[in-house]
Amino acid sequence: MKSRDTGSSLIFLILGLSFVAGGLRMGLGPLNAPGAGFFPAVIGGLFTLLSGTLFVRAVVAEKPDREKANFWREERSWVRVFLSLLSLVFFLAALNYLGYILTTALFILFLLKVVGKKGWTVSILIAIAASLGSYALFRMGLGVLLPRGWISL
Amino acid sequence: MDSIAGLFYGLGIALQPQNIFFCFLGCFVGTLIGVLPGLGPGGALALLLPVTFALPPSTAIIMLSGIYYGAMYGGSTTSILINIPGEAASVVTCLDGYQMARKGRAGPALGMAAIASFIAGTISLFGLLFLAPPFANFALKFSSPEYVSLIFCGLILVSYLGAGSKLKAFMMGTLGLLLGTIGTDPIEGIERFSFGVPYLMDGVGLIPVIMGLFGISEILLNLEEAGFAGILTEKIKNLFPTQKDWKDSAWPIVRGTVLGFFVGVIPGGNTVISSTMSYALEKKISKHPEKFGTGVIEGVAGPESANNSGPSGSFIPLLSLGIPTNSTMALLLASLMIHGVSPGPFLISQNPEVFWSVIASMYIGNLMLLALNLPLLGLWIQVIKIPYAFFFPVIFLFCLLGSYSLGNTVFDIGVMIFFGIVGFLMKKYGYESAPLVLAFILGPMFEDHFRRSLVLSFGSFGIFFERPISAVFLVLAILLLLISIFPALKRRKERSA
Amino acid sequence: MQKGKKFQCSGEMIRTFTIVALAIVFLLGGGSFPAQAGYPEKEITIIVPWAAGGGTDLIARFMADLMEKDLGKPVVVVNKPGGGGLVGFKQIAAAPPDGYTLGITTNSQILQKYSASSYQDWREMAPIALHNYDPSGFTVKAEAPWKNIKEALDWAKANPGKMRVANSGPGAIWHVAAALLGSKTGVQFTHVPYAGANPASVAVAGGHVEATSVSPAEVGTLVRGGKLRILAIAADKREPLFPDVPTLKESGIDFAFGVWRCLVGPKNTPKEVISKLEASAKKAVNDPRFKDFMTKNGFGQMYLGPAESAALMAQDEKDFEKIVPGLGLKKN
Repeated sequence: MKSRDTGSSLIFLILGLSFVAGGLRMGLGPLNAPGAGFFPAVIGGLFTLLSGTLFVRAVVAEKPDREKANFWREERSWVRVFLSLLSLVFFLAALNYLGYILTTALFILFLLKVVGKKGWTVSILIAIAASLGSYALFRMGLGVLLPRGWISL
Repeated sequence: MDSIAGLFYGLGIALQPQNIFFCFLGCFVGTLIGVLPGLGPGGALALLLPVTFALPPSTAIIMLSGIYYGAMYGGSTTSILINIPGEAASVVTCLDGYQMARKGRAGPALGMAAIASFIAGTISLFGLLFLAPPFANFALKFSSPEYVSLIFCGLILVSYLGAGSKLKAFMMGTLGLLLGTIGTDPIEGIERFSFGVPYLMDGVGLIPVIMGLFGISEILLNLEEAGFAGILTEKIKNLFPTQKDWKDSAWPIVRGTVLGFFVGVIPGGNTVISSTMSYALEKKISKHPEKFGTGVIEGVAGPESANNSGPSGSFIPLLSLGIPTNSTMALLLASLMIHGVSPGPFLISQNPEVFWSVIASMYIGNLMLLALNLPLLGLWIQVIKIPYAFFFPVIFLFCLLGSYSLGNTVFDIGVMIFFGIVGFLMKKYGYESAPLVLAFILGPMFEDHFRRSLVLSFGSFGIFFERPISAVFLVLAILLLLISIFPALKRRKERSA
Repeated sequence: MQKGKKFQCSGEMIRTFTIVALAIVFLLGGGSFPAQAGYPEKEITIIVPWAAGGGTDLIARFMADLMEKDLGKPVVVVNKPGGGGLVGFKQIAAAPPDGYTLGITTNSQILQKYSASSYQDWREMAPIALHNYDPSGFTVKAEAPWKNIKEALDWAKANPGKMRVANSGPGAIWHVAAALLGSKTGVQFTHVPYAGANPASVAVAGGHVEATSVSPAEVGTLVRGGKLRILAIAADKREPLFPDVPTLKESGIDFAFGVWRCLVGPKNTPKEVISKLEASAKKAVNDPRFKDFMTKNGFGQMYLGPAESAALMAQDEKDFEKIVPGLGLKKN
């Protein structure tokens, strides 16, 4: 935990400083008529201070006796998380090209088959049902416009 | 027409078959919309506005109010079941509600949320009935300085929400404030941190951030287990709240109702502030504050009451002055206008059938929602039991759909995914998301009102102290600060003694 | 084919050839035919760059409803708020020019060129039908001490900076209106920005500011409720819903300024499509139901076709270029 605190607080420190810099560039304005940069700079300054405090606290703290907790809960955890994130990004990228129904079907199929390790039949059936069902619900039931994509599905 | 007579008159209209039908329809659609993350009452109202063109004014407003309430009820459902707030006010419900669900106590959590909401809605309606005129004028007295002080109280309370390290909670709150500065400056119109991206001109979208931080990150965390245990860490116990639950929740409900009502009356005073305040209040008063965040029912009962009595409060300025206190009310106002009904002091005399039937149907709506939601408890419990491997892709999909439907752009999806990753990392590194989100909501409001107050006062800081209401809130804020620092100071004294 | 055989120009071949040739010509040259004859063949979307429930949105929805009845195909309103309209403007301009994606714009689009950090050039759009004009008003609290606009402005002149005028947003149309009024009359106002016309009107009703410059339609409810009083409007004629309110011109101030709303399409939308749309919009605007809706809610009525709208936009651009930079609004 100690190393995590040092690392994260350092990142936050830098983030805070960037807001301060950005705020200063925009101009603080007089105190009784604060400008656009006032809040980002002041709050950014506060944030930097807090991150700094955490950083110092983490560095100075005693190293914990108990064994260092693993970042990932299980051995292969990162695989599932990574693949799921990948599929989300795929959805994002493909939505306007492949259209809603196709993208959704592929998305669900991937998650069920690859991440969930379910069989082909089940995965394909659910993928189709989910994409058509949600299309019906959102598009026709709620009138949300969903992308048609090139394949106009 | 005095209040009691008016209520009966209104009931007479509201109980007509057509109005009951549309009330039910509104509640049903509203619940559905509340349950589907992303699509909030605003979106639903906008979608269904055309439908209401053809209906007589009372019926239209009855249906729209039903949707509004239904969405409020439905929003809590997703907060508890999958840690995704259906709308901003339900963020606080996630804190303990979801933990209760993980412990197999989703039934009591959902049940208490519904019942607390019903009780709060009913009590506050009576408040609306009898207190409408004086409160309407009270609402007008609120200007930016009052908001500054009120929101300041809210911001102090935000750091109460964290369960872990106070320093880290404070940091996240501050980060939320910083995130809120992204976008167009409200007073001068200057672009801040938007790097020329049009989407960012109005700031980072709230709903994608919430869905990412709360929903997506939670799923990613659960996916770490190969066994797909899902959200349940213990076996399911109880379908309904137990006797102990009732005892624990009684006072929180009362306190939450009163709090929510008063905050709702204030124009722009929203349910986020009231539910935050309720949670903080309950945690402070509780005999076991350290248990908050692990699944205590007071953390659900209080905030749920607050955010359900709020809408009744906000109907007051709308109906009696024609002042909408939030965007949903603005939509209701718009639909009133389309139907040629002018809200305002003359609404009661010129269109009594609209005013009283709306009030009566709000009560009926609350009843219907209770009747709708309680039997659904059993259904929701079954939903949790669905094997996670099948469950999580569907949640993902609804999140993706929900965020896309906000503005018909994939940008929102991108923001959601980004904050999903951020939320995941935050949990791993021991930072809380709730303070971040709440500060993100309250921060921009605070800055907006603060800077405008200084314009109004021609640069004088005295305005915050000279105006009575503002002064009262400021004193309250100082008290809150003292209360929160006091225990820490006491502890330090004891340690050195 | 066998090498030696000559081609035989059989009748069959000629027929086939002619058909194929005609088909090619038809597809290439008559490409617009299907669009023209059949437009609209599917649903039309109108992008409204503001939130649902606001003035622009309501008028658009009412008009869309009538156009749908006229054209026989769904006409759907989609809200794309953000950036003071910029997000929506950009989307409209970038949409495929086939007549199935349209939008609503106001003169704030042209204003943004001089008051905001980025803008969408109006020349990337094809105006179809300008359907509304709302003048700026000068509205005060009902109990205010000034009986008419002259008294109010005299007081403001005698107390420079003391009169606080609420507007609907920094750099927005009503802010510009108030600033222009100030410069025209030599009065120094303090401009207080609010997030929309509604909070601005409420601020006046609550006595937190002295006046607001938003349109009569936007203060209508509070005026009818007896909380506010409109002293004058910046128009050429009086508003039908507020017949007792004089125009600034009548009070001796030559100032007319307001917001207009126009149905537009992306730049290269085919002329035939525009004519069809214009005809339908014109019908909607002249429909008694529309007129009734507009009058009842205090929305100003005005109509201009494609060419005249374009001319007005060009004129507005010239006017804004002259007067806005001098107001010192643009900060980036």
